Amino acid sequence: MADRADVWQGTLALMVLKTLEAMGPLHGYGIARRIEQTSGDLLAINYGTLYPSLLKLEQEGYIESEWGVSDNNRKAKFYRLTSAGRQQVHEETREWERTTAILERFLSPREQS
Amino acid sequence: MMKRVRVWLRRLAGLVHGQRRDRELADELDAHLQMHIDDNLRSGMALDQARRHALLKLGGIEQTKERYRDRRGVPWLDTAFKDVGFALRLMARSPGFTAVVLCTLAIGIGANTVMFSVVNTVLLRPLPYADSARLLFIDKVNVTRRQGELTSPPDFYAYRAKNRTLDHLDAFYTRPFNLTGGQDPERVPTLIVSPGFFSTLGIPPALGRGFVSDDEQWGSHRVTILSDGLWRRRFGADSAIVGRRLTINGEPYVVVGVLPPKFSFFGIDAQMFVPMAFAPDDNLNSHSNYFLRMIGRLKPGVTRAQAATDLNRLSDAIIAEQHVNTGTAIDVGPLRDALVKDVRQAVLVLLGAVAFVLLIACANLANLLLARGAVRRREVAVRLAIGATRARLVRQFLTESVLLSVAGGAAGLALAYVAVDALNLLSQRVLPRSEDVHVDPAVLVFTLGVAAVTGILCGLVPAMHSVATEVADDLKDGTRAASDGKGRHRLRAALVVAEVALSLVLLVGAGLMVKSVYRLLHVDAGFETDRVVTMQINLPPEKYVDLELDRRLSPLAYERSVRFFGDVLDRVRSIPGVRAAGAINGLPLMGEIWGKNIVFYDRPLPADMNGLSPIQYRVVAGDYFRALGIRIRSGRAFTDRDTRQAPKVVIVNRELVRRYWNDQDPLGKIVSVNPPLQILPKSVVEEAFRSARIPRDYQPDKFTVVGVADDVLYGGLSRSALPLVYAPYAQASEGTTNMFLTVLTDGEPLAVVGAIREHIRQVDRDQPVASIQTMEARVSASVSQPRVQMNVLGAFAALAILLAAIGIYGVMSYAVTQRTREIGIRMALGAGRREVLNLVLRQGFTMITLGLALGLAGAMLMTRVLRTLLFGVSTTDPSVFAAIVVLLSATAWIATYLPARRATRVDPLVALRDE
Repeated sequence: MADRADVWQGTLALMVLKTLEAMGPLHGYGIARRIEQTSGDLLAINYGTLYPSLLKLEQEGYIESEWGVSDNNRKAKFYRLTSAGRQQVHEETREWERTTAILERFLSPREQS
Repeated sequence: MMKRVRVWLRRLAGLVHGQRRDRELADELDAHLQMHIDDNLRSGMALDQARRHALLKLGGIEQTKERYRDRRGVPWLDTAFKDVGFALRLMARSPGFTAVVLCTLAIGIGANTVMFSVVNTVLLRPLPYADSARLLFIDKVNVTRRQGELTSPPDFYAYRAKNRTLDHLDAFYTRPFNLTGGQDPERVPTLIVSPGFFSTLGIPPALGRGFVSDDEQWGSHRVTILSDGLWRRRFGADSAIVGRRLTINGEPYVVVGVLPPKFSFFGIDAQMFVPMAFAPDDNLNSHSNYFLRMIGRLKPGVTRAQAATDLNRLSDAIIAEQHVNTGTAIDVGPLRDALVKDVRQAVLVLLGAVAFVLLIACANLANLLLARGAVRRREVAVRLAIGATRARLVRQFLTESVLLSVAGGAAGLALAYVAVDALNLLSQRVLPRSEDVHVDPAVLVFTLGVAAVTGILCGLVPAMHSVATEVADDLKDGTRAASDGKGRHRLRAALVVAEVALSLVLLVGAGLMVKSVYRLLHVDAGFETDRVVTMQINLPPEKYVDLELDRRLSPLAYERSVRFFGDVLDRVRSIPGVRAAGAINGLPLMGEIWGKNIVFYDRPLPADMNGLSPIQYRVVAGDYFRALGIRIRSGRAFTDRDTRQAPKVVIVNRELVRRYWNDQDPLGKIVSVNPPLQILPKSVVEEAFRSARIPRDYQPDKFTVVGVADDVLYGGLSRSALPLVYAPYAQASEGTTNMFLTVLTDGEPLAVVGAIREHIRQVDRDQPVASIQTMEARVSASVSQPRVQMNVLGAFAALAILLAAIGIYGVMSYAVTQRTREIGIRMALGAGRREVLNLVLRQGFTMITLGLALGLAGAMLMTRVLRTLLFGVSTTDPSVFAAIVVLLSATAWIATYLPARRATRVDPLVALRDE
């Protein structure tokens, strides 16, 4: 169970980082909605699971947080990518692409060439 | 790696300011929900629906918070902190409970700490000598009885020269020496050692040098090493002491060294050290005198068994070639064992006893925690209902009990610090190395370990029980929630049973010790202690013995010492308030100091020495028998007319008459206390003639038995009397110059001490007097070890019974509270007070009876370990067992009766309304 959660945490972390890279500083709710939209509503996550992920990324130094005011004037905590985070996005992306490429070969084998 | 560290640092940081962070998270989640609700409203939902949808999507606020917190700090550490905080609040909220628990634990753990520090010092810590594991105690033993005998100098020199397994072999014996000149004359306990002694132990002197092999050559032997204590006390720590001349036993000695402080050896209170040396024709250096003990140091890589074989090879050779020492062999053991031989068993028994006390304390604590666990069932149920796991709750309960036990352990340690000092005072004369007993790191670790184990032991079962509960039941009904399940009650009853059983074992042990000490003190020792004062006078032979005459075995050699004691006793007798004054060379209870062989002339002479009958020998002067109230059964006591010139006479004890004369009247029989030449080995006789030590016409003195005295216990209260011969000092001092005065007075015996000393000073102003004690004090000191054992074991037993009573009382009170409603119903239905009382008592009765039965069985098995410590009491002494069962039953009964009586006072109306 812990393993699956870890994998999910890892994936989620990359989604969060990627979202922040694309959108700039954003609060938790915004990140959650954005991930949901991007995944084309295929991914129905509990928004609650996002917060421990955010905390972990912050502890690892990839993101920073700051209180601010949202579009519709609500006080909210905004997360922003740090430079270490930006680097991490690239590494993780490359890593992810490699993994998926490998997996793809397994999952949909093409004709022998 | 760096990243890991950073993460952990942040997580650790997350442990602090927990509340602020919690608030921040709450705000963040709040904002999240609000934004979501706003969005939902915008998309056309009703407010209710919008809110529900947002919450659902988040997945529960509390769950989110919990997960977030796990990530934020270090969960287990965080929980531990929280549990400790919670436990502390809980402790503070019920100070009574906390106080009882802490006291129980402090006593239990404190007592264990004290006993462990004793064990640690006496049995575990290495001796304070270099590489002490290789040090040996070498003992000559009687083959049949395996009893320690002493070694003669010629044997020692042979062993030392010819052994192949020891780096060092050294001998020692003690004698008091008179130190005179300058200040008051003083009698100084002195250790006489072969020169290698201090290097064997690995003790270099603090000043000057140690002994060297030249020091044992007669003529260059007059050198001495002082103890640190004597150096400071008598010589003001004079740093120029080395090289100074002292007068010891009337001869000039040179100080060559001073020992470091804290040097101790076998608890021998030696303050001066001189090398062992014998004049060329000294009779001491022969096979007629056995007075040496030996220590040795193993060669590296040699085992004790090899050393024993090696030394026995030498010993057997001496037996075969010289026809001496027949029936003896050599035992080799670690020096430490020889040191603690007498107390090892006692110390281990007491350690076991104190562990029992702690077990009882644990049972009590477990009981208290169980009771509290029952009260807290609602709390447990609520927490389980809102999602706490059982493991999590067990951990919290354990944290509480460990916290309690650690606090109790800390208190116990404080107690131990105080108690160790008290124990030192109590046991100085009883315990070897007791001056070293203190609380050291090993003890600290022990205490901490005991505290932790105690906490877990006490807490685990109650904790498991507390969480093994049906949530729904407990939540449903508040009042019933506090009622016990069957299993829980049985567990508590079992704990009480165990407590009763354990305390019974302890009490029986203590009871046996008490009876044993009582027996010892009431044994007929054969003498009276009332109003008798004793003191030791050790005349220096150089001054009081004509050594030239003595060498020729002339009785005239002791003229001066005979006159000295005659003068002193005459003067002492004239002191007002003195009834009788006498002297003897070894007081009752001091140990069997002088064995000889008796020759009977009413039967044929045996072929050799081995056929002679062993006796104890004492020389007496003045009215010794009257002063100590020793009855003369037949014949007469010695008188002033039994002088050197008068016919030689002896008095024998009844044991001798029983053993060697079949209880026939011995008056008028002729005996000797030295063997005639014809039964000595030829080689020895020739050698003695050659060295002119014995005249060719030598015959031992013949004595007429003129009296039979009652048996007196010279060897100690627990030893039976041996056959013994008394001879008048004037007729047969046999080289004795060390005597004890015994003075019977009219009133307070110590009142005449001043006058006695003054008279002695008038006879010889340089003669010191030592060891001034009433006979009563000597008797009391002779039983100090059993007495200390009795007191300590008694104290443990008292603790045990107290704790057990508290335990029973607690459980019964609780049971009564539990059954209040039942009792109320019974009473409402017409049950009388008597029936209610019986109902409750029966419950207690079962527990107590079971406990007593188990305890009796346990005691039967366990008291066996006391066997060597008891005197005159069997380990299953029925009267002691019976008395203890009565005592414990009575105590248990009271502890049951008090709560039971409360049960009869239950008002049915109140009890039922409670529902």
